[in-house]
Amino acid sequence: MAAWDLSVTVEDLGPDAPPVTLSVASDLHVGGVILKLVEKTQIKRDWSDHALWWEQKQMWLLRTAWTLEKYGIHADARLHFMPQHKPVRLALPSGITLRLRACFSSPVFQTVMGICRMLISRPCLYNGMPAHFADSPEMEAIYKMLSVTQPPPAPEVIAKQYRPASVVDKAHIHGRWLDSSRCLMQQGIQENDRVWLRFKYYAFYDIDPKYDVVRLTQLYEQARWALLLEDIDCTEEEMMLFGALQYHINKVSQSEPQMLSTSAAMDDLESALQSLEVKMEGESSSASEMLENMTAPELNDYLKIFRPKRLTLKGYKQYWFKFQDTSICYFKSKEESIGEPIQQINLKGCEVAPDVNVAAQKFLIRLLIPAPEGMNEVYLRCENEQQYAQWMAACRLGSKGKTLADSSFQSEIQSIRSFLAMQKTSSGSHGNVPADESINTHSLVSPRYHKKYKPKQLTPRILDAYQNVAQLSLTDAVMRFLQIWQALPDFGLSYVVVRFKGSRKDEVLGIAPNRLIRIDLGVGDVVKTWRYNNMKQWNVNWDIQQVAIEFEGNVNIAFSCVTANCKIVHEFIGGYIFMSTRSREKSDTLNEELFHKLTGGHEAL
Amino acid sequence: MDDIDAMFSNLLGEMDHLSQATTAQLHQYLLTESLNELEDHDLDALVADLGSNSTKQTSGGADNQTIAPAMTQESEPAAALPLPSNAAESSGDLQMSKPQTKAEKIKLALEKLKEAKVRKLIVKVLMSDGGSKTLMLDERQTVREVLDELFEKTHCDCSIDWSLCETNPELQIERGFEDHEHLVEPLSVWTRHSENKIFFVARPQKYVMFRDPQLFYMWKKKEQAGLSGINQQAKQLLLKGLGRRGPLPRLLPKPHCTGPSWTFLRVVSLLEGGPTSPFRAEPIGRVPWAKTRPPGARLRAPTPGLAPGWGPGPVCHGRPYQGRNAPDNIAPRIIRAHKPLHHSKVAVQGGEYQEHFGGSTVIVPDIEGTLYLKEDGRKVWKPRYFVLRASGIYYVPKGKTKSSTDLVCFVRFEKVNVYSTNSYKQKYKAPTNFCFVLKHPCIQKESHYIKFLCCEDEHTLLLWINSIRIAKYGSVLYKNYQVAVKASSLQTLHSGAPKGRSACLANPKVTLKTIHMSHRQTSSLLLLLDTQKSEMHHPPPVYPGELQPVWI
Repeated sequence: MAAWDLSVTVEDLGPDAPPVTLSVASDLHVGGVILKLVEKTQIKRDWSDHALWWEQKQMWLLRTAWTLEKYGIHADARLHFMPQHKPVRLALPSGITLRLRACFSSPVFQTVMGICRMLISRPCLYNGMPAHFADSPEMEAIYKMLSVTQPPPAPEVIAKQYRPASVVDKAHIHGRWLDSSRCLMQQGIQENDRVWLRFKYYAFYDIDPKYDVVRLTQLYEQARWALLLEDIDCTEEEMMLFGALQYHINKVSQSEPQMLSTSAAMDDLESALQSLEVKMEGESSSASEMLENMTAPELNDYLKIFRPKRLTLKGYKQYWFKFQDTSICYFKSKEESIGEPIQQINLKGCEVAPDVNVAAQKFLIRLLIPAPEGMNEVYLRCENEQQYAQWMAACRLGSKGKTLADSSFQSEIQSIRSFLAMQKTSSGSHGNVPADESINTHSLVSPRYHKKYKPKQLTPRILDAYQNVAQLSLTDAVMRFLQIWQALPDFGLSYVVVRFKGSRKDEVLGIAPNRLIRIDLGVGDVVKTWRYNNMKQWNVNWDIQQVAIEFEGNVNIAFSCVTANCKIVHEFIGGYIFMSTRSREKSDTLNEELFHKLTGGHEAL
Repeated sequence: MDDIDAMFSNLLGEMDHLSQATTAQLHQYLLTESLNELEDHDLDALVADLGSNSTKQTSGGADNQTIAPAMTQESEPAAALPLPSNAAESSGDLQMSKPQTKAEKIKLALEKLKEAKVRKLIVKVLMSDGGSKTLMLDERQTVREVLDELFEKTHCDCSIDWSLCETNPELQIERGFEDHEHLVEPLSVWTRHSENKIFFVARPQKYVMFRDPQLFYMWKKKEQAGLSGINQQAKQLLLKGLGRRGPLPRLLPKPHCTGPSWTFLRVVSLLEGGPTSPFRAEPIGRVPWAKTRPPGARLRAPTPGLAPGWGPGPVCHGRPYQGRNAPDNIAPRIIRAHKPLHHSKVAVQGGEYQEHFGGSTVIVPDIEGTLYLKEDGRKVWKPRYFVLRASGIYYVPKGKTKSSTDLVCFVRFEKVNVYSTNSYKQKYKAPTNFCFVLKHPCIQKESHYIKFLCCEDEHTLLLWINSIRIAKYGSVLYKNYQVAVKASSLQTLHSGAPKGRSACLANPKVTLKTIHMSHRQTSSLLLLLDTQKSEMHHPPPVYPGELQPVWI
């Protein structure tokens, strides 16, 4: 066979080096080309990761046994010889950027799998963290970085970030997902480019807080940012609860950073119970301690009470208050506290709301006490912070039906005091507050509420929500956060601007884990919902970029995509179908072939 | 050390004293007031429940004659089953004999403290057939347990619809207790002269959200077109959708050692851009891909005859090319018929989905619409547009949109229960009789803290009430349902067995329970029944009895 010249650019020779010219015949296989190339460059190194990339065709020549003829390579082909793994900067949901080597030659799906296997997977646990993280101190540090939630961002950071203002903006972002059946190189990603790693499908398979620490943390970060950047809408009440949870998660993760992994070390509930039992059985020396634990701390003091419902002109009146079980009793004075109280108020089931202004030294506890006739309003006025924190904590326990003997009493007092501190600092010096001491409440809510409320005004609202979550462990708090996020009506929606067949205007297709929705752009209303359950098949015409879907009951829809390639829509639908098959198989391995069949388009067939 | 010892014996003695006092009190009451008013079968039922309490009771209040025959009657079952009664005695001995070690003492003290705090109620549950059953309720008993007990006593069909339901004649409201609730708790907030009653009735609405999920999750569709033809399979799928985010925390860890156990494929990189990107100022083309890849370059197949596609290489494996020559120009190149997946989904129903997430979020039906609201203390009912979310009921303020950020919170569910109502058109001049009420369980009388809402029709009312229950209880409701289904299927199995056997099964259960009770000292509250009085007050057969709480 006639020999001809093939020029190959070798990356390792430097960017300015001229291409290496080889004399080849068409029946030479790719492996032979590489061998010749390596001999010619005379560089001694490990070439095992290197492969040929065909620039015009945008493809890797990975089948080394194939001949040049079979690949259709002629003298005009521009080939590059380079490693298949290149560094990329990976931006994680938490905002952390990692630099790591990713595979540029396998489909993005596999590349991502590789990354995830390294970062987020849960193989055999070693000291609560995936074993390979324990290999070196650097890896250990990375693990910590990934598994610990980030502190709340400064309000300025939130304000500076891009926020999608409309559903169309969101659709544009969703138009940028990489094609998972093609490799990074084919999609124009260069060495050292920055790519985002995000949860794309909102169907979270088999999350176990014990094993999925990193995954859970990153999921939380993604959810938190989606809320802070108004990517997903929620009501004001929900935002306050999210804020309270963020505050709590931050606080707990600072005080017990190993919480997540220690819970992993705790084998199961049973062993936890066992250790509890051992404690309960107790040794003889702990007898007095046990008794101490069983007797509730006493709480009594002079407080002022006011009943706004009673038609009296009298203001606050001072009495001697005593906390008993879940009730408060009050007496005329300390001296008379042995006899019958003037009144006893059972707090069980009541609503407790704070009304505090540290600057004005106002410490009010508003109680709404249920009674057969309705709710009775009672205000308790405390003199100072210390007193307030104690009584507030007691009232909260009482409303939950707990006594002061409950172990959470002290921590409740602490959390109230730390919240008061927060109000103090956010109302006082604004800019340069040490970050660990207090958090600007604006860091916990989206910019919409920055405009609506001052940090000082937000504090009591978040505090109000906080009382319901203050006792959660770190894992539970993260889980609660995710649950509330999942319960939002717009949860899990990815948007694409589309043009429905026969329609003259652009509309938005929302893709959710279980359904597709059609949104009218003008009104913003959901016009129609289709569920995957009823879907019979979908077709994509790659030529005219149109997706056609058939549902049961002869429902057919067809649309062309405007803000995204229809491969993205195809991948989303196929991906969610794939997810629904996963739960069925219940195996830990992933049916990659099925994923490609469902999402790959015609390449996969 | 001696001090502690002394302290303990003091403590124990005091508690014994205390409990005896309460029992004595209890007895006095039982004897003097109500026992002779109770009908015979009520007494029998009570006696069966009280069981081995007898030893103490007789010692406490043996001086009464009325109780004596009853007591002899009740000692029979205990005698018939020697093992349990022995157990009762031995535990009684344990109490008497001096505890050996301190650890034991502590344990005993803890137990005693706990027992002393356990509240008990005697209640009369009214049956739908006009009869009634008297039960002794322990604070720790859930509604589910009480239902099971009633199943045994009534030999009903044990369907999942059976529920315990409280009615409040004053407010003309009623509510079915949820299976996980501790029955004593809601009952103990009844007032002294309450006319509230408990019914044991079949309520088809109890688990309607699981039986007919399409009503809730496809309610909009119902408005558009009739939704009659939904099949069982589709319902199950809908249910799964419901359960998907309502998983139970898994108790046992999965064997994670099988193979590479990563599970994380749903992460896919997003190109540079997005929120933080400097690209954001740059307008994104209508088809951003076109920029990076001229379509002509790679949308062509390398060889003619292969389908036009992005990638090189062979494309159609045995599938004929139908591309642009296909008649409708929609080339079915990636047909994935769903059939196989579809079918297999059905098989997974129940269970699988509970493992997705360790938490307990359930998708709340996105119910919304105009309801009439009776504003605090006013007589008029004003229409407002309400939206249900997991976090509460919201309304759309005047001139605002339905978007999340504009919604105003109307009520949250933590502290309120939802009640259905009875003829509010008459009572409160409501636009229709399809009203529901949200209130704190403690509130028993009319108050402006009660939220009154009125729906246009019965179906809307059903949607709202039960969707609120889904929002309030979340996955707990689903768990209750599963337990109920299990219980009903078990019962159908048992019903085939000969009657003698089922009686055998029933008996030990009762006695075992009574043994427990012998250690518990009833403390404060007792609900007693007064049938004669009730018959005078409430002649209609639907309300044959009345519960009159008595506070001791």
